Amino acid sequence: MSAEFGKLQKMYVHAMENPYSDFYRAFYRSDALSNINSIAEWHSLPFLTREDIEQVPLSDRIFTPLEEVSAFRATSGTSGRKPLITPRKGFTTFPKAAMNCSGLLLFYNSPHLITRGRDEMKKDFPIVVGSFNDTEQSVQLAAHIGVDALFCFPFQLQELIPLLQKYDIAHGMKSIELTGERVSEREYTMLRTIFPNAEIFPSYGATELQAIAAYGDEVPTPHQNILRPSPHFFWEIVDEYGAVVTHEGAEGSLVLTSLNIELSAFPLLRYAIGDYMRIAAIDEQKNVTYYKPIGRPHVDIVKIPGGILYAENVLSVLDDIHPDITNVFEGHVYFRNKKVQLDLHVVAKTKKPFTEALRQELAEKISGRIFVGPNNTYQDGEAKGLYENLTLTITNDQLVKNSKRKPFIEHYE
Amino acid sequence: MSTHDELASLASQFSNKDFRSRHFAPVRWEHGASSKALPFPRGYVWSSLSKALQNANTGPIMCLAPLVWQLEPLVHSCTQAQQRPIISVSAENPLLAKAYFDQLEVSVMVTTPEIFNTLQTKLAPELTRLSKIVIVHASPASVNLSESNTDLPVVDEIHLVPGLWLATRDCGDTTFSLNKTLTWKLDSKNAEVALELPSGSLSKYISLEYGFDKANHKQYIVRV
Repeated sequence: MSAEFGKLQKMYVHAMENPYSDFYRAFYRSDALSNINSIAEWHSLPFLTREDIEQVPLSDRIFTPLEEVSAFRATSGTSGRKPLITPRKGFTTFPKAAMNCSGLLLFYNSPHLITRGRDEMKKDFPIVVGSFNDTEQSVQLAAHIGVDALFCFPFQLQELIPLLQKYDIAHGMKSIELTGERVSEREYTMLRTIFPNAEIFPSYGATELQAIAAYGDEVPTPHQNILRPSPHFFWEIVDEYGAVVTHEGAEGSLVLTSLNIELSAFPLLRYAIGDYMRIAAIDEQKNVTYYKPIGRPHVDIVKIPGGILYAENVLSVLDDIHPDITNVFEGHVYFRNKKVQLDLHVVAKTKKPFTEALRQELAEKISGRIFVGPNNTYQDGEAKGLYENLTLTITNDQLVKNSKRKPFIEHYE
Repeated sequence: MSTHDELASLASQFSNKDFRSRHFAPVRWEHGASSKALPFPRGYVWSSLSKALQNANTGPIMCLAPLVWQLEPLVHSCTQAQQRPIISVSAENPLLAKAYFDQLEVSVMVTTPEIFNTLQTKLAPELTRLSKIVIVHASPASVNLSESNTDLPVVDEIHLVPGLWLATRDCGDTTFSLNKTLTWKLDSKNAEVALELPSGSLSKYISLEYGFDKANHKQYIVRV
């Protein structure tokens, strides 16, 4: 058994026997195993989703005495969903971008995690905490104090870059860490041009978790947009039927498990975060697997050339398209070769097989009824050469639920 | 020249080395204001907040103020010392506080007069459950001297720059207490405070004038 599997076993026992929370005892109920003796048993554990977590009051999912909780964090709620609050225990972080800096401009909702991380590292550089809606004042402070490192979210770059140039910080920037979400190759290349003297460190995380991966020097690829998992989490990639895939090039939904008991005020076991990953490379000598993020479901609408895909519209189309299929779907939107393709995965009501001819017929019917504008359908876009033909996958299995409950998953190539 | 203009002029003398191993804050409080940073005395602790936490119920502490004020790490130092969880709520999204109030027994909230006013309108019942509400004022002008908020456990604090407190008034009190960790010279009408700041091997001093209204034994700061 690997050391990592040993950690999974310990975490499972910690979660199941925890005296402060019976979250997992209630979640697994009669299916609960007293211990995990093999990876096959581990794979038999059900996925945990955000919906599962939300059904349990916060006070019932704190695995430690309250005085040992150092912070609570919440998702923003800006997507229209109720914010998900999670407890933290002693976790701090130190941005790779700050390793050799003389000053850091930091955009982060819980800045103490990083100021404390700096103090623990015995560093003395100033950290300027920036406000998301007062970016210019934040940059002015940074210019006064003198910073050469930046930690922010990719979505801020459009506003930040002109200000960093205006206050003459851009040229001297030595390192930039982009956190929270996927950084596209296009964004990465743009940053290399604008900040010629800066190293770019994208990291990857989620509010309910913390940083779950980072990009590092060790990555065996010319593109740094490849993730190395954080040692605090065990990564699994599962296909649309819930089976774990492990071979290079395989794609699927990311499932995470906390590995560090000391830092886990709420340990996550097989948490389906909803992000999609490709296994980019496997270094057997170092026993490290590298991943490329290929999509994060982050909107209920997806902008595509010539229009917008609306989840509500797809739902209403599926409601009455055929008596044997449900309206439960995942819409995979591929942006490739200047064209868009919608690959719709739909759950069937019965196990009765669909013929290829019927599946094709339904795909065409759906394409003709999905409106991407007031008067034009996805099918119109196909005819104009804007979109590849809509493809339809009908499955009898429940789709791997993504934790963000977002119906669309975008894929960029 | 206003105090804050004076501070801006003073702050412009400092450079990167003066901010190492020190907390600092912007000298301008207003949204969108052009700003410089003022370094704090070395080893500064927000002692009035520590005291307020000691006198409050147990439970998490919420910090709800503009992040650019640099308050959150200072608040965290106080919560960490007392083994209490911190909740950081962005000023851009103040109603996120409701999600926390719904799920946790929040003990103390640290916030601004503007956000406090917003929350009084939107989350009035939730505010009554707090043990203390620490309001950080840029100037005595925003302090409600008529004490009409006595229903809520408001602690008013006047800060020189965000986080650097000069005077505090606990809920129920009619007078302010001055920050005794700073050096004050007081006479019947004026106060002068000395503040250690880095500038090579020298300390610089700034002076602030305070007026005291001693009618009915009340002592109000009326001017900074």
